[in-house]
Amino acid sequence: MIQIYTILVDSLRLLKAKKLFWIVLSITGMVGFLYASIGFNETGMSVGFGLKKIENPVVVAGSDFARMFYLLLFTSFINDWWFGFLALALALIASCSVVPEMMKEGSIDVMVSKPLSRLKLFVTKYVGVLFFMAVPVLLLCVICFLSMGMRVGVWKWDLFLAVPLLMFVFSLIYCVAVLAGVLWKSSLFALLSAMVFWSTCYVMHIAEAGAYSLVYVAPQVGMDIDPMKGPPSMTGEVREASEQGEASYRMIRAAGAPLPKIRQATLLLKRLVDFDDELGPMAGVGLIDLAFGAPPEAKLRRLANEQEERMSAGYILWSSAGFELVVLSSAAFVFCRRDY
Amino acid sequence: MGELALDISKVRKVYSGKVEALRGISLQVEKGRVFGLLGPNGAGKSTLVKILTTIIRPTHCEGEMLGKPIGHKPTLGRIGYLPEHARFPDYLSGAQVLEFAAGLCGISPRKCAQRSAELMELVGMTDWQHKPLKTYSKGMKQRIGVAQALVNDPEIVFLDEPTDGVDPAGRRDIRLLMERLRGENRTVFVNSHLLGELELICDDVAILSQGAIKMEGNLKELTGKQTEFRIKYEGELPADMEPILKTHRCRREPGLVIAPALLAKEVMPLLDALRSKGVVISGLERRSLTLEELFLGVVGDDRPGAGPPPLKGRSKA
Repeated sequence: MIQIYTILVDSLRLLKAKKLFWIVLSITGMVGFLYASIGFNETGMSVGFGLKKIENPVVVAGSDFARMFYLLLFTSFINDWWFGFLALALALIASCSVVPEMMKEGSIDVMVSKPLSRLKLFVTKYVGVLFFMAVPVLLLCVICFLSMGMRVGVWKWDLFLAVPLLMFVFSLIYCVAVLAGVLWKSSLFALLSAMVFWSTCYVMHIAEAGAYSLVYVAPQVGMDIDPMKGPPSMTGEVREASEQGEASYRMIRAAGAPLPKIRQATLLLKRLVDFDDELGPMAGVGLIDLAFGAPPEAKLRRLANEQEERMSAGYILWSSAGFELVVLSSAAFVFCRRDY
Repeated sequence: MGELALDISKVRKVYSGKVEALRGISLQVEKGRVFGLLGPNGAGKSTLVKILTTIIRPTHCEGEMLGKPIGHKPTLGRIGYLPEHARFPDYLSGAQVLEFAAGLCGISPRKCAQRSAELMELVGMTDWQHKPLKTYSKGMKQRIGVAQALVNDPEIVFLDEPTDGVDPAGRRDIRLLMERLRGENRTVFVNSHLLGELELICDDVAILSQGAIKMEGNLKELTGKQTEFRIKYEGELPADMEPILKTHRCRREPGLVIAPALLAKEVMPLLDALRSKGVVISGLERRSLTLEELFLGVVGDDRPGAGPPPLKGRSKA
């Protein structure tokens, strides 16, 4: 127990000493601060705790629109973009050097010559980094939770589910950085490997989601998509998915099956932190959709929702966890077997 | 031989690329002694210590350390180790390095605090212990490295090039520390190529070259067994003296004929021969070999950095 405590304390000291960690924490704090600074009054809304006032007859204090707007800000920007991309990227940049640094000659010697197993050292270090990288996410969750409660009266405890979920998502990318770090002992290589891998998973996700839309969603809304016939057109005729289309989709999905479902796992947050009751008719609408025109029709939103939920949470989590287990086991095997 | 702290045999290490770093090493080290492992760069000294401390996996290894098989993890709690080019995180202070090393050995922070204070005093770092390592000189980091190797009160301490980067005063302190450890009946296993320093402290030595032990034993006995007589002369040696010098396995330095011999009577025929050729002898001195001379005599032409030749037609480790 003392050994585990020692490695965790060392991980904390390491992150505290890293400027990048403080930069990540500061940026996260700023995002939270910006969100918290948005308020509403009788004449409209304000940004920067009243610094900049924006008059609006609809979005006023106590109105349903103000509540919806505030929640949509969270679901459209913080949830989709911050948690889905930027927070993960920053955490990866801050932590990718931990394993390569640990494995440098003269440093690793001291650790592996002590009476603790290499596996214990490896796993504790890994968990320690994940644990402490959760701090910025937790900080943002606390700020958003308090802001939602105090600004629009929505006390959403489910919000804190973002912490374990995002740590899981981060771990899916970080395990690749760890494997690269163990193999090549290079921070840059670890970061590049993880970024390339993440991009690959994202491309696979886009391909699979796109294929699903083409094969299943488009026929249901009466959209005819055939590159041979020209641009897509609305026929209004609701059809079943074609056998050929289904076979193609199954093939694409099978190709991506071994990869972790990074984006899908991030999108699980929408299912876990459900604002449908609070948003009412605006449930499933993005703030960007509203900014550029009318919200999509209810049927389209339902289909979009179906598309997002085409994979069960269990499948997303377990298949991703399986991938992480394989990658992490490989990294642990190399770490435990190699000569230093 | 007294009780053994280390008793190993047939230690082999073949790296990928079929480089045989260690070729069947056998070694015994007594408890409470300072043992020096000497060798040119690339001889395999660090590899051997790393095998003993489980940092490197041996291709083959038989034997025991402190009565347990090599590689027995719990036994590592009874040893201390200072690696060559030890590197500790710059964000830690000296005291935190000791706390970290102690924690990995399963020693609680409270117990460590007391031991840490003693060790900081011992290595002369009390005033600096709470300052971050990035403010330390190389020698100060080395002192912290030595202290962390002792934090678990070890029975054997492995010091790999402990005086690397340390100033003369620091070297003396480390030497005194080794003497103190020996006085406490701890075993000190030191790797170094600074022969002058080892000569002052080691009880026993082994000379490693090209992955094999070339000579081992008690230092005093090894150097005492190999004496030489240095004959000073004036003027020039006659040319016909060469065959006689060869017969006596002599080597020459300006104004000196050096004859390897244990007893004075063995060099009398040589003196007679010199006298008969009219050589004026101005002095005669009997001298034991220094460790450096012993080392160079054993290692000979083994080039520093040249490891053993790659294996041919042998299986990979």
